Amino acid sequence: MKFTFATVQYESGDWDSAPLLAANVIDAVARYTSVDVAPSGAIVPLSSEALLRYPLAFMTGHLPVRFTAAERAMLRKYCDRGGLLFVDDHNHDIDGVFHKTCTEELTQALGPLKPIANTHALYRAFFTFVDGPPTTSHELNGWGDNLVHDHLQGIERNGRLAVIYSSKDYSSEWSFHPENKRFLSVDNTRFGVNLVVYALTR
Amino acid sequence: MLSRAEPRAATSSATVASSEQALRVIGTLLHGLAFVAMILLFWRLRVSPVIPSARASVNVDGALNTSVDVLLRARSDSLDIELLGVPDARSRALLRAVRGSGHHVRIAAPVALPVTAVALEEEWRTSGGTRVQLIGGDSASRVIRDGAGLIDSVRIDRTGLRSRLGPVMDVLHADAAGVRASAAAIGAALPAEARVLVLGDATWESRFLVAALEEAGWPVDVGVTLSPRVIVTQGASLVPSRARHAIVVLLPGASPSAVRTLPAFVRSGGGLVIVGEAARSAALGTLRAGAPAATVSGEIGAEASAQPRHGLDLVPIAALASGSVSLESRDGQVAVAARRVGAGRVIQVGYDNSWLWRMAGNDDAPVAHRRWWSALLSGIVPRTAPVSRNATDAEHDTLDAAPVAAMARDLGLPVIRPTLIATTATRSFAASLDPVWLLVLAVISLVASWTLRRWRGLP
Repeated sequence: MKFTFATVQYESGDWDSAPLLAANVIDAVARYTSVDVAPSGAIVPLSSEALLRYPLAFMTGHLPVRFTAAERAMLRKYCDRGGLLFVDDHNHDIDGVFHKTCTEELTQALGPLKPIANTHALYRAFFTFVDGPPTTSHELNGWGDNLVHDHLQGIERNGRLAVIYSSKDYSSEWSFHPENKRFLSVDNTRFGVNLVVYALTR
Repeated sequence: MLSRAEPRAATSSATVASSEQALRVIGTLLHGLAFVAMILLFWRLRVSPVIPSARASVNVDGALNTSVDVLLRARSDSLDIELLGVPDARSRALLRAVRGSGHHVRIAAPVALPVTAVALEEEWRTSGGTRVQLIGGDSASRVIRDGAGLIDSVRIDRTGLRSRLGPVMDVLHADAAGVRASAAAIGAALPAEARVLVLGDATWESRFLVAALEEAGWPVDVGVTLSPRVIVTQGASLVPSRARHAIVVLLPGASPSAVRTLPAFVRSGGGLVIVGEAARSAALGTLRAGAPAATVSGEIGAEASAQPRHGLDLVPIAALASGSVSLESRDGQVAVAARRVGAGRVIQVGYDNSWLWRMAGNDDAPVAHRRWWSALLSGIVPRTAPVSRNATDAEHDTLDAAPVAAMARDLGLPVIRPTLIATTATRSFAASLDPVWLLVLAVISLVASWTLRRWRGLP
């Protein structure tokens, strides 16, 4: 069965704010690894049992997030079964509405978020990121705040990382057409490969 | 003219003549009887020396109904045994002894006996779990009991029954009509640590299989391939080694160099689990339990049903290799099979994406998935010490795990004779002639004949 990159669809907010991200991550996985990857991603409702068929799922947005009871229950089941949810704040700002509401919802459903050490296996799963999560252009100067988030955050379930939460705004950083990678001196989607490989091997 | 007394005298003379005639006839008959008795005696002793075979039977409960010294003292060289039940271990030992003393033992039964065999094995890495396998050639129900009492009543089909029980007290008995199979768990020969090496591509199957094994307590080394030059490892070695690994789980995509070491690993006593498409590797031709057929897609959604493995893709095991046994089938196709190769054991699992069962199955799916894999692996953990049994039959120092098979091995299978009882009831004429009685009859006849002659006044 091929690896399929899944994007979570939730009822509140704008779940589809980074439409090109999936294709870009799929391209990176196919480019650097021999993982048998499906050529297109899947969109899965958070409240659906179908989510359980995708052990790695991506979630993003700008707007406030409020999970329904069904979404909250399914998220808990998904993480307990061994699923890994990668959440990225498309605003990248620490006090934005997405960050505030989404971390509240995740905490309510699964427990508090904790910083992931920059020596975590996630940063050596395929490519090596000595300084932890790679910074994005949006963090440095995109909105003039020059706010760099030093760590990703996470929630563990049953001793395994079940949620990875990012304020880095990879949703903006990776949301471009894969063919335009040729204009980059360093492929900025390499950390996406680490996420996929980490999910497949830990 | 005659006087009045003359008719009376004539009548008396006729009566005497008549009695004389009768005595003569009786004497002749007695002579003849003595002659016939002596002829039969002579024939019995000389002309017909064949001694009829001795007979005995085995009761429904398996016991021999005749003591062995009676059988051994029988003057016949042959012994006919009628089976109303399968002889128990003691009866078989007695019959073997009789056969060893030079008797020809023939066995017959009025009907085919129900075949029952039972085997127990303690599960490694589980808290007192016991795997039971029950085999029977018919659909009769079996009652399972142990030292603590009745456990269950089951009806088994042609492929037998495999189940998992809790701890078994002393000996497990499986009773069918006329047959009791008994077994004790094999134990005390398991290694303290059985390290597993998982090899293959980086997939959800490898990820969740490793998770399940670790959750079940297995120490796991991992080598999963991410690209031609990148292999993610966990543990010290990527090469199967009997010095470090007890079992190798081979998933699709393992490096050819590692696969090439597996025949030697298994023959030296290692356990091997071949999963799904991995069985197509030509290097596994001498190891796999059977040839893999075309992949059959799982039934969508069935992973959350009562038969969760119906939802998984299956690489059926089409042609079982010699010595392989089917452990599980789906829709008439072999899904899991096992065989011994050298000192090691191989299990071939046809399911290709069991992770789906764990992720998308019903509430107990993660536990059931973990137990299923753990049970499979515990069946091929190399035994490092001589196998011992936890309990034995104190009386015979043995257990009767497969009484019909043991009978076939020791004495041969019985001839089926539906009219056995009627046949055995008909004894031969020669067998009914006792020489002593024939001699007594001849002597008595001659003495009676001589007495009659003396009574008649003859010399």
